[in-house]
Amino acid sequence: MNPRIQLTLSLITLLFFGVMAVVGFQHAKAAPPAPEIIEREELQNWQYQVVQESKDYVSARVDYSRDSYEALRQYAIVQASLVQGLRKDGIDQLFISVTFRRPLPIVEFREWAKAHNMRVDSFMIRVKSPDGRAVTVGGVPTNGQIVEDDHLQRILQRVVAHGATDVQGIFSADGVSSITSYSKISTSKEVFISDVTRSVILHRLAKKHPTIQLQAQSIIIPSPFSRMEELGLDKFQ
Amino acid sequence: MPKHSRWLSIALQAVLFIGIAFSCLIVYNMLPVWDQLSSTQSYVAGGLARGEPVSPKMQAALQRGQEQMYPYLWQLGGVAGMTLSLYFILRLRTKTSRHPQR
Repeated sequence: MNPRIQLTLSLITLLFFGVMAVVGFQHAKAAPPAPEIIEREELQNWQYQVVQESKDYVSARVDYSRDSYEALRQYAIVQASLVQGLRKDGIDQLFISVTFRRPLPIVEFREWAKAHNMRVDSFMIRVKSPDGRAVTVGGVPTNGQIVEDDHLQRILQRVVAHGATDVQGIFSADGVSSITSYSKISTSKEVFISDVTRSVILHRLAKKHPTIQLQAQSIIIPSPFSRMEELGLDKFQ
Repeated sequence: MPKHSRWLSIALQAVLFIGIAFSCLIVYNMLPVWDQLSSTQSYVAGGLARGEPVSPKMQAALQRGQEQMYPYLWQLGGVAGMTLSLYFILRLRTKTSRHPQR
């Protein structure tokens, strides 16, 4: 090939790759977009904020006082009035997060979920090590069973390998229930908090910002159970 | 060897050396992002293997990781391409200076 043509082609290639490198450096220099708070509300004794984490992902976080037994009890009490509000607005399905007064043994939890017509989406298990260290293990229903034995073995395997062998039971479960089943769940003697703030946030957001696509599982509710353990589970019986 | 041809040869080696060094620097900067992305990918793959759905939070983390990787891949592609182009240009010049066309 003619050296002149070769030289021209090489120069064009050089220019092309030069532009490519410059674009790469410019993009790396640009700071990633900071998460933007798109909604924030303070309601009675709890609050929430909705955050646009990325272009396609919106999350929310609930916050409430976990300072004392009384603060937790007030948060538990306020849930009933929130359900009343949702009922008035014609909501019939609730996203519910249940925290038990004590870890329920697996068999007992299976029976409890069936008896209270709750569709369980996930649950949390308390496991303790011989030195008293508390470990939380998360699980989900698999193969149509609320807590499948194989799945349970699999998720517990890792913590058991690290010395946490005392499986105390399930202390919290997230899922869906009908509004008619709510009173049965909330008055169940095993339940301390039947949290419906997920439904409240979704409902309020749908009214105020119908374009925001927030999914129930993207709403984080801090579990009160560790605090309950610190305060002494006897108080919550 | 003519004097300017020797200088071209030195320039050729310098371009290669600088290009490779710069590419290594880019790879070094890219490693933490790559590490983070591959951890997220294996976490998601593990969940999928167990039949658990990918949560929106993990989807967003995956997307964010990929978005952070692209600039480094562009940088790497650009610098490697520029090095090769410069190498060919200089080699061409070396050849033509050794065997000038009449």
